[in-house]
Amino acid sequence: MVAYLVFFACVVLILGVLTLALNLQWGFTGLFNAGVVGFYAIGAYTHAILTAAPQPQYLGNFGLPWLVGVVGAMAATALAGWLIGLVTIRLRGDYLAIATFGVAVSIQLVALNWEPLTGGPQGLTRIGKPLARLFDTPFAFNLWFLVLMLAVMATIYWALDRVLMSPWGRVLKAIREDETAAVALGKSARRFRLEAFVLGSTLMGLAGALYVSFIGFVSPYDFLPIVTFQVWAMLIVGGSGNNRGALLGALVVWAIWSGSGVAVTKLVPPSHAAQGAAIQVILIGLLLMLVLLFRPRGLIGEAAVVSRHVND
Amino acid sequence: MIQPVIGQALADGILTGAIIALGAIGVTFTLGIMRFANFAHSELLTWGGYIALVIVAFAGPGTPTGPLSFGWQLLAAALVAAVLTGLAAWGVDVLVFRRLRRRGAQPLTMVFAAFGAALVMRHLVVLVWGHESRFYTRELQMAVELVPSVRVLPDQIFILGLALTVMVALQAFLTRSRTGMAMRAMAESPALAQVCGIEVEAVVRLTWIISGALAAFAGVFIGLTPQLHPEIGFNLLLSLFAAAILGGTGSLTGAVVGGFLVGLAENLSLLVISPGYKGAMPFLLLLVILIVRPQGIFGERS
Amino acid sequence: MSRLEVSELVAGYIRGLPVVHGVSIEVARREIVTLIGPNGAGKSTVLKAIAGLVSREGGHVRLAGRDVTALPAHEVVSAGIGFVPQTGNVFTTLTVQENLKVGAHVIRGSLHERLERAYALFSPLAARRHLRARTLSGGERQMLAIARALMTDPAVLMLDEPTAGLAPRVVDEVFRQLRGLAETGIAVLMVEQNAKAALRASDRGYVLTEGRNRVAGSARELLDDPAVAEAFLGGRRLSARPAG
Repeated sequence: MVAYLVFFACVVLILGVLTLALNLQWGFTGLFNAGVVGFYAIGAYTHAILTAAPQPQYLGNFGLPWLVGVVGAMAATALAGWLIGLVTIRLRGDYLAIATFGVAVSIQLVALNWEPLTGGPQGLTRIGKPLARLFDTPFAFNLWFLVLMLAVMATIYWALDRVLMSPWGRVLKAIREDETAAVALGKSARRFRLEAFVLGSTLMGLAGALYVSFIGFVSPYDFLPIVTFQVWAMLIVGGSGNNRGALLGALVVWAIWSGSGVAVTKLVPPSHAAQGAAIQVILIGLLLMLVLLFRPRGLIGEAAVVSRHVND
Repeated sequence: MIQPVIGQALADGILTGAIIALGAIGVTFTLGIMRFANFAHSELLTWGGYIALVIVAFAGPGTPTGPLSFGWQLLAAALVAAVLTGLAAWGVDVLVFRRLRRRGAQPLTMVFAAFGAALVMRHLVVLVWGHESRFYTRELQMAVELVPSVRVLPDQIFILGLALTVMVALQAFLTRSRTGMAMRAMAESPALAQVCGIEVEAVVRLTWIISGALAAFAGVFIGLTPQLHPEIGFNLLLSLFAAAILGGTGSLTGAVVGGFLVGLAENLSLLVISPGYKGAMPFLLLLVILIVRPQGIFGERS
Repeated sequence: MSRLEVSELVAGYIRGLPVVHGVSIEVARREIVTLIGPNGAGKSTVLKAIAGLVSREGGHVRLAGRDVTALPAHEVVSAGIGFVPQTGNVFTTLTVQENLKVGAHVIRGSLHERLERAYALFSPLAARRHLRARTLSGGERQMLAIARALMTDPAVLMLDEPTAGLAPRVVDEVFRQLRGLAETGIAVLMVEQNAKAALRASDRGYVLTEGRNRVAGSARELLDDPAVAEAFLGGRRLSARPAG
């Protein structure tokens, strides 16, 4: 039981990083990123390709140290965020959603098909974990990873706080609050949004690297669109525009998702596993729509209307 | 020889394109009139296909008529499915989207709600039917060789003809009838339309019903060529949006042209890239059009 | 009895945040009444509220005695109030003829006569009836916008800044047309930034500031009033003879 909770806590913290990143893009900048899972995947796969133990059939697998993988993942995602942002940020809200959704789908297809680099459907294994050699049992490693994640989360939370209080952050908030200010700033507003988008993407890449270094392997089936939906749900349930809300949302939504998954496996006979899984998704989909309809602020979110400045 | 392969790709592209066009029309209407990206639209295709399946399960697909694999009963089932899916589409609006619209929710909240609705709709199908493929009929069809090395099934030709008929009828409706003109007016300016005495909710209701009905036809056509499974709609999501945006949001002609272009691009691309990447083609088209001409081929720059 | 009677109207774009705080105006048949005032006075909002396009939170709007305050926008039109908005007042993607037909959406029958009447009144439109409205000049679009609103034979015609951006010769033409329409029995209510010209063409006027009534009177009285002239008409009484 304790082992499960430790595992659960690690996953929640990783998803929390994703949610904080999305909050930066949406809650603070008003950019609807419907391709969260794509950046998550880029970070995950970059880390995997850099750190996985070398094997002859793969182009990558450089066996580099964990830290290199993490930094590489962040750099790759930052670059991707910059390129994608350049093209898509000026699009109006729902077009941005479609474009970023398409980005994520394409990335997942690359991960699935480019076998020499990504391992195709089988993915890659033996990925660099932080200080794996020091811990001989999975439980011991997970416990250490939890401590590491707590430290990472604390750092990110604190750093985001400082960034948002900084002059840069204040301009960002001003752009969010007042459309005319954004128009007056013109091209500069777009530059701020791009920077926020890139920063958010970088954090998503970090989350991806942390995820695969936690579980030790990467598979394209971990990066389906439903992950984006889950992260969005976390942000909406917790209350967007609010970092505390983001983390709370991550905890609540993941608890519900895991919990309902466990309940379904217990209640539904294995022969109907597919149906059981369908019930789980239906329940959560309904829950989210109910939250949207009846408590759009989420659990502790702001009442203020976010992003009146989206370009439409 | 490369020509036969291109010929086949062209034929496949046109056939797929017709189906995408039918779905894209609904997307372009919701983008143009309701002004939000309805990520749940693709699930209407799936529902349409499966509702027809239920009817066929009771009434049968009919004895094969001529070279086709089905009889008039399947068409009747498709019609009924179209009506029911249209009503279902309107129902989802009343339950979810309209409530959010009335509350003045931002378009992006609507998109997220649509995403959620899509999940629920898709998994309801999984719940009832599971993941296995389903068929309307077990009849085997012989492919017909239209021109040397280009093979199509008689069903596919019939579907193409039916799809084109539907599109022409819809265009006539939009340009000649009072209601059609009201829809076009709303697509340009809801405020001005109201000031002309057009009731917004009536137009919205009609838009959903038409969109749902077209999607149902597309779903049935997919189910015929060759099978139904819960992902048929979702697999086309990007293609539908790419077609609608490529053609120009709110333009019926645009959605049709866009649909055929996307279908052709997808199938022609198979000549050069691995089939695994086929799903990325509509996205690439989308990116290109958004960069080069964001209002689409037939769209007006706002 | 006035054709249009607005009493203590409270309205705004966001519920709970009214921009108009209890405005009262009246327009009789065959009358042209103009609302003037500084930017942000809520003049356009008054028209939009009457038309049903913004939320009305208080007060009443009566059309020939019938209370139309709570009607949704599309029913306000069938009740007999036509509205020509300032911007976006024609459908650029539709042809001239389609614009007019859409304008007559609530009318059953006699469409042909109405179209011919519109073309007779605004001859440039007749020549361009099958062209997209987008191809029209500014003045022609304004004509089309007014013609569109007339398709339903409204008892009251409201116009939001009908001469904005038009050349002076065209401005005169527009006001002349409005006078002609009033002669046929329509009650005309307009908002104008071009206050002097509008008042010269009107029978009566109201000055609104900050969402409230300030001054009211006949057009002549307002043009003669030094305070009004000072604030809204460019600082010189218009009825005074030019010096020298």
